Amino acid sequence: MTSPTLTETPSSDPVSGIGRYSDQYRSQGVRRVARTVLPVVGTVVVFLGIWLAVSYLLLTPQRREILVPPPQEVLTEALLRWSHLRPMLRALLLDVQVSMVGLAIAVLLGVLAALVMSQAPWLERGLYPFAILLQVVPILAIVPLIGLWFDYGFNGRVVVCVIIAIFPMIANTLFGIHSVDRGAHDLFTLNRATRWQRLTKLSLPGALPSMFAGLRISSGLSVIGALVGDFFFVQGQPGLGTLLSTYISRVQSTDLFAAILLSSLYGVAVFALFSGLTSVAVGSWHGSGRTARADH
Amino acid sequence: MSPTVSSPASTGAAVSDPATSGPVATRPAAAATPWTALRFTGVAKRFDTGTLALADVDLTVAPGEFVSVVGPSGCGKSTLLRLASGLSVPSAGRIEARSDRLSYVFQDPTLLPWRTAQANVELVLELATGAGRAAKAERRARAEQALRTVGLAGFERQLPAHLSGGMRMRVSLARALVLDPDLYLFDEPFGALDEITRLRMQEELQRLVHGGTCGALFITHSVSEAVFLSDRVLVMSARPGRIVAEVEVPFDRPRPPELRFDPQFGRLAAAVSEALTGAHR
Repeated sequence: MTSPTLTETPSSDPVSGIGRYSDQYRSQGVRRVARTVLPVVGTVVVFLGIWLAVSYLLLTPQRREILVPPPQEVLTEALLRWSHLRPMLRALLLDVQVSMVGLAIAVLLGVLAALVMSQAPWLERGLYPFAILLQVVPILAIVPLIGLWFDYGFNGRVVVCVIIAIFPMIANTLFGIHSVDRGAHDLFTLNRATRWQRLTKLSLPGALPSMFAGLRISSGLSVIGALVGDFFFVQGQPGLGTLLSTYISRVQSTDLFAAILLSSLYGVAVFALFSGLTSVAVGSWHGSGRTARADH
Repeated sequence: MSPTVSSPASTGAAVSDPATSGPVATRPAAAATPWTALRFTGVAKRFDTGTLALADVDLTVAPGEFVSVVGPSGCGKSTLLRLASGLSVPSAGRIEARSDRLSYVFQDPTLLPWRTAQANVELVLELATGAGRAAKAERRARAEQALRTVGLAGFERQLPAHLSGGMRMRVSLARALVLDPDLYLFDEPFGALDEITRLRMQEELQRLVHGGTCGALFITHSVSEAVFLSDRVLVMSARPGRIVAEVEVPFDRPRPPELRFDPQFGRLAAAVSEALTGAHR
């Protein structure tokens, strides 16, 4: 269509004008989907390309089998073989349980600890060093102790998971509580709010965006925690971490890569889930959770 | 315009006389001492850092009286309000105010971003405890009424992020109104608004606050805003702040917007400005 007809159409033929507008909207929708999907597809393609290049161009056939098996072999030798995939999925299911239980406990204890610390400066000064200690202590150093206190199976793994995932919850909740507007605190003081009212009506809702930021970090860490726990506590059902160490010792490279892919996919899924949760919970009033500004 | 009503004391008394007969029944103490909305006697404030913010401030706000304080920035105007509200305690002197019956309007709207306009207004009613706490239905009705009074009917369910700056300040005003206080404290509430919104808000504020028995202490650095709104304008000196001049504004109420172009308005504003420059030197 040339420009003269374009300028005439809206006045002479409103119907086709409307049709064109809706077309325009549709193409905008397509463009928006393309904008969000294409970069992801693009990076995946580039990633596969590098993977293929490394295994075929850099490595000799014998070393390729062990070091970097090409993606299609990982698919056909491991992921598409039910006898190989089944133990991995069962292990993944266990890790899902460990990480979600661990994350739930970490969130509960982390928020609780932050709330206690926020009640008085001396409490924070006294307790915060222990939170940092929890963050910096090498997990390997306390593994025997955890095994001794709990067990070398499910409980021990959950404890490792909690230790790894709890710090972002404490730190972010505390930060959120501290960053609540001073004027709002004055308002509560002027209206003689009780400590409980201040906590439930001001500090906690005000800290929610930071708490969700912490939750996103902690959720990723809880997946790592579950796999690390698998490595140390081998009693009971095997987790993905257990399988990883088995595959390494038996040089089952395609299975190893498949297990790594599965655990990464689970990590991504957890992160996406909690990011989505953030925008549902605080997206209406806080920028951090907003995915698209649909209202403006 | 009636230049005869020049004494703020008599204005206050005239307004409070019929009103005190009401509160007497519920508040017997009010009968014994004549009731003042706010009184500072020789108040000084020194911060922990050693800075003397206020020195020897005396001021009174009578019931029904609107008093403004103007002064150079950093002279302790906001400190004055924090003292009046009880958020801060004086280093010397005496402050009499019924701190349980005051509304503080902050420089920023200070709304909770996760609460709707309606819920933000209801908040201060929710915080009341004991016998003064209204039932849920009554809280809702009072908040709706307050929002209607500030012209926000239909915006009850909007979050602050979806309201303009002027509307947010209206919600803040509604939250002050809903408590039905004896004393309003305003800390430069219109400072961040554009000129047009600001003038409109001034007219609405006098409609909202004036006519009752509540006193108001209004902090501003706009001379015309102070003169337009007030029965009396107090001028503060640079730090340490003290009150160096007092200008009475004898115009009748309600004051029309055109009053700002009246020659006498100009003379009063000039008098305040002059005192202000003197204080600045």
